[in-house]
Amino acid sequence: MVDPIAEARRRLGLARRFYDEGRAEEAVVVAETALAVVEHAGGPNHPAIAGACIELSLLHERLSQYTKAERYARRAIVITEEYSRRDETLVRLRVKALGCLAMVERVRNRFGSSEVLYRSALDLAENGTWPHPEELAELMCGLGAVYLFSSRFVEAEALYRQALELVGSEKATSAVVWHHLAELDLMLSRFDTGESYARRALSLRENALGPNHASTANERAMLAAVLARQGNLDMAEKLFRKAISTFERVLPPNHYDLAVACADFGMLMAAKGNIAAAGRLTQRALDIKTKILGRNHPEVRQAVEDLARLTTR
Amino acid sequence: MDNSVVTTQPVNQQVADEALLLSHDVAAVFNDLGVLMAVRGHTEEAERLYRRSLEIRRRLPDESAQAALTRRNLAILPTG
Repeated sequence: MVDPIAEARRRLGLARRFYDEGRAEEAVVVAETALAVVEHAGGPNHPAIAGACIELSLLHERLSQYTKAERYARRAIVITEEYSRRDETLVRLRVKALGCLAMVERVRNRFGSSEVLYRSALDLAENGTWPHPEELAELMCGLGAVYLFSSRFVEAEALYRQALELVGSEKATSAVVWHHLAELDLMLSRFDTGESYARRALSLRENALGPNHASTANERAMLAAVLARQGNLDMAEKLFRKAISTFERVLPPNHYDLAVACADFGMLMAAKGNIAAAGRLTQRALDIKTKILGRNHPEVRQAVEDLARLTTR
Repeated sequence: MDNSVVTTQPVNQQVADEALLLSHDVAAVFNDLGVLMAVRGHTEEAERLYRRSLEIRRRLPDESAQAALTRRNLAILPTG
């Protein structure tokens, strides 16, 4: 007989591979079957269920399906509620579960609760004795992004630098840190360093995941934004087009990264004098954000009023 | 004596005008006008409006999240 826990682990590994190959929706299906296997074998509160829920939460978050991402994260948090610090497996699962929910809360603009969740995850992780620099760095970047979008730039930068020290600058996993550093520098108008960080993130992603992965495309869009701000409009346009066409191929049509790329590309087209294209791109970004974030999200509210004015003129 | 009366009047008026402009709504309007200008390709005008919005928000409490959004609007404004 097959050991169900081992079988579930195998399927989650397969799901991760599908995701890395850009087959995100198949990854979700496989991860769901992994969850079914452990639910059937281990009863409702087996730690392996938390593991499957965490994987599903991450996948849904990457697909901009935040309601499902939240549901799975909360379930994992409930299962890991009663942990002992000596039970390394359970503590690690809890750290991940808290991180998943923190990420969803951040996207939903609930920065207060996101910060609390990230902090408790980091506290737990730092008290642990196992080496896991990548997970720590991801949490630090997540909390840093909460600070960034609360205008707490100094705190954000300190966390990003700490994360970079943990993972080193040349690893595939440090791409996420370079991405965040590039975003910070773009917002603080430090374009030279911002550009070099964005290029690093892009080349690390390209080497690890290939040119057609959603994460690679996202770094292309980031570099495009930096170049546009510096006046290199033609190169920026090329990068935006390539990023958006990759997103259209490998992501579901309503995805946050696609919306951001469309909005930013819209600004570029406007600056180039193509106002019709700018309006279409801005509208598309708004439609996507409304679907995935709801009408009351600040990013949507701001845009709704702008577009209402634009179209009623 | 007379002089001080003459000079305080306009100063008070100016303070009152500035106080009126120091509101969340005004900051939001400057931000939104900035986006509007940017979508129409008037990037220099957009930049001026974003900076105006940021300047107001810098002086208001609890504006940090909104300020970050405006700052991001400014950050993706193309140059040239």
